[in-house]
Amino acid sequence: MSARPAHADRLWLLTLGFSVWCSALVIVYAVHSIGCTFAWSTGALRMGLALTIVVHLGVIGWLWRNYARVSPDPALDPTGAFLQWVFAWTLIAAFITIFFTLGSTVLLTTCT
Amino acid sequence: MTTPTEDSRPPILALGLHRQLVQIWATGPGLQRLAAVNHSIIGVRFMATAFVFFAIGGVLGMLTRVQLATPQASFMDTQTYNQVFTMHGSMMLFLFAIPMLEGIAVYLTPKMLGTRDFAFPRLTAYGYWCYLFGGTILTVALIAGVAPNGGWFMYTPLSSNVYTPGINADVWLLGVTFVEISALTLAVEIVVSILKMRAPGMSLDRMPIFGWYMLVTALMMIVAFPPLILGSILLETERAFGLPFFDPTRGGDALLWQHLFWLFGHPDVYIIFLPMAGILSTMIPVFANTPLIGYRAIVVAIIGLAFMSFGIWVHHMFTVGIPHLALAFFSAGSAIVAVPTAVQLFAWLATLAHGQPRWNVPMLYIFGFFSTFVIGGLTGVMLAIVPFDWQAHESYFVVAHFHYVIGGAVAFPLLAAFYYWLPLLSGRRAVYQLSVPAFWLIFIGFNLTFFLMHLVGLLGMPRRIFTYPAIESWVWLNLLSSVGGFIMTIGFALVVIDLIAQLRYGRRVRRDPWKAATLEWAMPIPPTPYAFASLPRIDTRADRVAAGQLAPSLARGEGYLGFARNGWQETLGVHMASGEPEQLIVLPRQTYLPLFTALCTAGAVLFMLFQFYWLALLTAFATAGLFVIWGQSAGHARDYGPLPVGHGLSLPPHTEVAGTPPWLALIFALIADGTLFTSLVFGVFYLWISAPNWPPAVKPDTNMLFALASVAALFVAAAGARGSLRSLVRGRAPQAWMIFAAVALVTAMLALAGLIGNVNPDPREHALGATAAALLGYFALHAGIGLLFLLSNFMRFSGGFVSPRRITDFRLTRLWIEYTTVTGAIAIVLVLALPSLVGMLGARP
Repeated sequence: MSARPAHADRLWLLTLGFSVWCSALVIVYAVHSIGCTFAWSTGALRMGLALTIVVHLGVIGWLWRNYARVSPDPALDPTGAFLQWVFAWTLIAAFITIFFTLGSTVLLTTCT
Repeated sequence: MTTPTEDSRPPILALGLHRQLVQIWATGPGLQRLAAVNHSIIGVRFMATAFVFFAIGGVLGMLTRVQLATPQASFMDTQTYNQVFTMHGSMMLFLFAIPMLEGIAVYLTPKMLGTRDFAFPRLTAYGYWCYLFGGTILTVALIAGVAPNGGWFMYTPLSSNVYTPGINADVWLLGVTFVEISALTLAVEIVVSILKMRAPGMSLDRMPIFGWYMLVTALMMIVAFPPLILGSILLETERAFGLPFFDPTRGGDALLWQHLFWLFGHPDVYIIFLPMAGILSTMIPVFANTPLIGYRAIVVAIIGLAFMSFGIWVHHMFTVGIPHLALAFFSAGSAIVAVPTAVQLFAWLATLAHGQPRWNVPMLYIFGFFSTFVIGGLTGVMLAIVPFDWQAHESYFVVAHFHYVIGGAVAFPLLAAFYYWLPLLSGRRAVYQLSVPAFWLIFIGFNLTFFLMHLVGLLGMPRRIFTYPAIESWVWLNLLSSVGGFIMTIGFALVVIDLIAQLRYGRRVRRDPWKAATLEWAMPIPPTPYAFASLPRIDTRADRVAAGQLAPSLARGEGYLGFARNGWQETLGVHMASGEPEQLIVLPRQTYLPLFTALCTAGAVLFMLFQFYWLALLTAFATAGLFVIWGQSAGHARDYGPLPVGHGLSLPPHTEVAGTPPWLALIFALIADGTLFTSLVFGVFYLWISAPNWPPAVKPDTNMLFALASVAALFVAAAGARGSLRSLVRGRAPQAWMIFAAVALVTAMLALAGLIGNVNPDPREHALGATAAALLGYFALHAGIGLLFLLSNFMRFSGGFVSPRRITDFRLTRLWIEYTTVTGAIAIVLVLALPSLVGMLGARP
C-alpha cells in the first residue's frame, strides 16, 4: 500500500493542543474575574472554574482519542508521520500544562 | 542532491546563466539602489541599521552607568536621565533586537530554504524604509531633547498628557507603532514565504530547523504585535482627543495599558530569543560535526514555548493587586515555560556531547550564551514565584535578570552568528587575533556589569532612579558595575575593529569554510542577487546537504528554473506540507514605490505628531492610494497556463492557482487584525469589570436604526463581493456586482458615521463612550479599506490583470469584506449590549 501524503491541513493541527490550553486560561481568567466582581459564592465560582478546566481536558482527551497517535502510522508518508508525532506530543504537553498552570484553582482562596 | 536534468535543452555554461540571471535580478547602480527589493540587499540594510541603533542604545546604556557609578552624581539631571534610560530600552528592543532578527531572517531564510527571494519583495523594502524612518524620528527626538521619558514600557498614567504633557510620549507611541507595523508586515511575509516558497522536495520534516524557528517566531509576531499597536493607538487617541481609555477618573483604567503592553511584551522576549535559538541549532551541529539531536522534540518545544509565552504576561504585574488565585496561574505558567527552553538546551548539549566539537570563535560565543542564558533563566524562575517577585519587583534584580536573558539570548548568539556567516556576506574570514580578546572582554565585562546588579537589587536598590544615597554596599557594587560596562564596551569596540579588519584583510574563502550542511553555503560567496542559479531538489533533511558538491551543479543550471525566461524573476511555490512544487512564482522587480510609500507613511506619522490631523488624514489617504498603485503592476495581464520549470515539469503561474502567496498573506494579516480586534473587545470587557467610576452618569444608548443599517449594508456588500467573484469565474462582467458592493460599503460607512457622531455617553466624558467609538471606528475603517479593495479590483479588471483563471484579486476582496462583516457584527452587538452590561453592574454588591 503506498503511503498517504500529508495534507496541508495537518499543519493547523499542530496549533490545536495549545489553543485548547489558551482557551482554558482565558475562560478561567474571565470566569474568575466576573465571579469575583459579582460576588459569586465560593462554591459556585470554584465549580465554574473546575468545570472549565475539566471540559478543556476533555477536549484534549477527545482530540487524543480521535486524531493522535504517537507510534508511527504506516499509512502515512514520512512528512505525515512527522506532523502526527509533533501533534501528539503537543497534545501531551498541552494536557500537562493545563493541569500545572490551572490546577491551583481548586485549592486556593478565590477572590482575595 | 539534484538529479541530472531530463530537459531536452543542452547544458548551459554556468557563466552564461549567471550573466543572464544577474541582468534580471541585479539592482541598478547609484540612485537605483534606493529602488532595491532584493532580500540580500534589504537584509544587510536591516542588519547594518540595527547595528547603528545598537551602538546608540549602547552609548545610552553607558551614560546611565556613568551617572550611577557614584552616588548623588550630577552627570545628568532627572529629565535627561529619564530620556536616556527610556531610549536605551526602547532602542535596544524596538530598533535593534527585532529589526536585527528580521534582517537575519530576510537575508538567510530564502537561502536556507533553497529559494531565490521572499514572497513580497516590495513589502520587504517597505518594511525596511518604515523601520529607518521610524527609528530616525525617535533618534532625532533624542537629539532634540524631546525623547520619550516614561520608561520603555510607557506606563499610564505617567504617560498620559496630564503627567507627560509634552511631545515625548507621542514620539514613542507614534514612532514605535510605525516601526511595529513594518515588523508586522514582514512577519506575514516570513510566514508565507516559509510555508510556500521552499526548494522542491523540502517537506516540513526536511526543512532546516532554522525554518521552523522563524516560522514560529513570525507567527508569534503576528499575534503579539497587535495588542501593542492597539494600546498605542488608544493612548495616543487619549492624549490627542481626550478619549479616556486609561483615565480612571472617567471610567478608564491605567492597568488596561499594562495588560495590553505585556500581552505584547512578554511574547516579545521569546520573539527575540527564538531566532537566536534557531541560529544556535544551526551552528552547533556544524561545530559538533554531527546532526542536530532532537529535531522533533525541538519543534514540539518551540510550539509549546510560543503558546505559553502568551499566557504568562501578568508576571510583569504581580504587584498590581490582582487576586492570588489569578496570580497563581501566571506564576505556574511562568515556571513551566522553562521546560521547553530546557528541552532545547539539552538538545544542544546532547549534540555537542555526541559529536566532536571544534573550538573556534563562534563556539566561544556559544559558550558565552550557555552560561549567561542559564543564569538569566534561573533568575527568571525565581521571579516567577510570586512571594519572591514581591520582594524583587522594581529592583535591580529584575534589571540583572533581563539583561542576562536578553544579553545571553541575543548578544552572544548574534556575535557567534556574525563570525559564522560573515564569510558568506563578505567572502572573507575573520582575522581572529582580535576576536578572542574581544570575546573575553565582552564576557567578563558583561558578567561584571550585570551580575552585581542581582546583589544590589537584593540589597534594595530600586530601578529607574537617576541617583541614590551613599549606602555603602550600593556604592561599590554600582561602581564595579559601571567599570564592567566600560570593559564590555571596549570588547564591542574590538569586535567592530575586527569586522573592519576582516573586510579589508581577511583571507578569501572558498564556498563552504565551515563544512556546513545547509543550503546557504551551496552558492557563490558573496551571494549573487539571484541566490541560486537553479533550484535544488531536496531529498534529505536540508541541514544535511552536501553543499560543496551541490553548488557547482546548481550553478550549471541542473536544478529547476536553470534558465532565464521573459526577463522574469522566477522561483517556485510548493505544497505547504510536502514541499512538492505546485506553482511558478514571478516576483516584482526593483521599484521606488516602497520608498515613496514609506515616505508618505512617515509624513502621516509626523503630521500626527505635530497635531496637523487633517494633513495626517490626507497623507494617510495618499499612502492608501500608493498601495492601490502597487497592486496595479502585480501579476500578469494574460493567462499562460502551465509553463516548463525544468526536469520535465510544467507548473501554472501563481496568478492562476488557488493557494497563491497573496491569499495566504491576507489570511495571516487577518489573523493579526483579528487579534487587534480581540484585544479591543478584551479592553471593553476589562473596563466593564475592573475600571472605577462605572456605570457612567449618562445612561448609554445607541441608534438602533443606524446600527442595524450598518450591519445589513455589510452583509449586502459581502453578497456583492461573492456575486462579483461568481460572475468573474463564469466569464460574465462583474462590474455591476462590484458597484453594488461599493454602494453598500458607502452606506455602511455613512451609518457608522452617524452612530459615531451620536455615541452616548460622549467618548470624551467616559470610557464607555470611548470604547463604543473605538469599536465603531474599527468597523468604519475596515469598510473603507473594503472600498479600496473594490477600487483596485476595478482598475485591475480594466487593465486585463483579472480573468476567469486569474481570480485572486476578487477572492481577496471577498475575504476582506466577509471579515469586516463578521467583526463589524460583533462590534455592533457589543455596542448594543453595553446598556445591559452597564445595567448588570448595578446588581453587584
